[in-house]
Amino acid sequence: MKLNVFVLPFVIATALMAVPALAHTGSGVVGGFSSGFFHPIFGWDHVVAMVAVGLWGAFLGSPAIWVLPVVFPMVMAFGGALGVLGVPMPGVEVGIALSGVVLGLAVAFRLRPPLAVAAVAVGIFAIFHGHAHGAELPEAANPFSYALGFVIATGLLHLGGIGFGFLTRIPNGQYLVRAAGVAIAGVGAAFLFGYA
Amino acid sequence: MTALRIAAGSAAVALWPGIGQAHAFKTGAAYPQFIEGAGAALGEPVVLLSMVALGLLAALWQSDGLVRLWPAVLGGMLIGAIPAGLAGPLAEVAALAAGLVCAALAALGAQLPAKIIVSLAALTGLCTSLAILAGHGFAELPVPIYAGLLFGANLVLAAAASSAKLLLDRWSHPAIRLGLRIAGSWTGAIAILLIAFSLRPI
Repeated sequence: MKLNVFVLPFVIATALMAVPALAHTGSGVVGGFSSGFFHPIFGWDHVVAMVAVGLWGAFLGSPAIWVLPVVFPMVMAFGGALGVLGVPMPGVEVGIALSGVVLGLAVAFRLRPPLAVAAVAVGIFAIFHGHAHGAELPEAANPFSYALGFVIATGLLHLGGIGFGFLTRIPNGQYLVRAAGVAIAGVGAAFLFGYA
Repeated sequence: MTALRIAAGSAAVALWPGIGQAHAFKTGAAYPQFIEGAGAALGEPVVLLSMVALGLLAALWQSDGLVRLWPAVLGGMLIGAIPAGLAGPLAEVAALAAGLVCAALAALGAQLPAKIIVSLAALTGLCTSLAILAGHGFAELPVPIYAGLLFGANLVLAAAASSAKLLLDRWSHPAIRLGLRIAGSWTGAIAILLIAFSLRPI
């Protein structure tokens, strides 16, 4: 059906008469899920660190690439629990910013420490990130759906990093991944020195 | 234009539905009570988490894990119904903690002796029963509600375990087992957060 001179003004008038939607106010189960889901995604300092863990796993190779996504969510949730319970943790923001710098540089320089060292480093950073998320929990959120969204988003960011890390398996792909590591370290440094 | 008329007519019919009479189940009070019990179990995050975690553990533990663990789970649930009247809010935390242990073992791919896994399954069933019936004295509720609760909780367990087993049987690629372990890890992470939410000072 073609728009003509009679239909067009009607469409414009209808569009201009739009009122705020009231059906989905963001509260309740759906609001809790979206709140939890977008909380890790809307913070760049969190995003780069989650992705960096996946990228680093690509350089560390098996079994690290698969050990990290299995262990990381539970360790991060432990940090989140500390935040929810109000357990104080000094230097959380510095720890988060440092995680971007350290993990980004580890990717950029293709560092390959023993698995235990990598796991402990990532675990410590995971607790910082989890604590920040837990401490910033909105009061009205539905706890179950918030936790569900939070864990799924974190896991997807992680898996996204691992997926991008598979570029190391194609010719010259490792340079792309290492460049991403440099960018991540830059973002971490910007947060660390107060530029972001 | 004909298509538009048909679409408009279909939309008008769809927007004007009557009350469904095909499955009214108006044969007595027992069935609504059963549904109420099953709905309570299926709508309770504690039940969902602990049963999904146990289902994943059962499938990753052994090929016939669900069949071997089910008697223990049912036994634990039945025994848990007896002292449920004495249980307080901490029963929910206990059920989440049991689910967390199941999820962690599933995530880590731990191959523990049968005695430990069966005991854990019984404990998870018991804690889940305590959590969902907390405050209700033994035999206080009508039998169909108990049956519904048992059905709902075990439906989640069976769905989780059999889905995982189906994936493992259908595809032998190691990534399937790994994906199920990641699912266990995510389930455990959610359980940790819910324990914190339950214990947080208000």
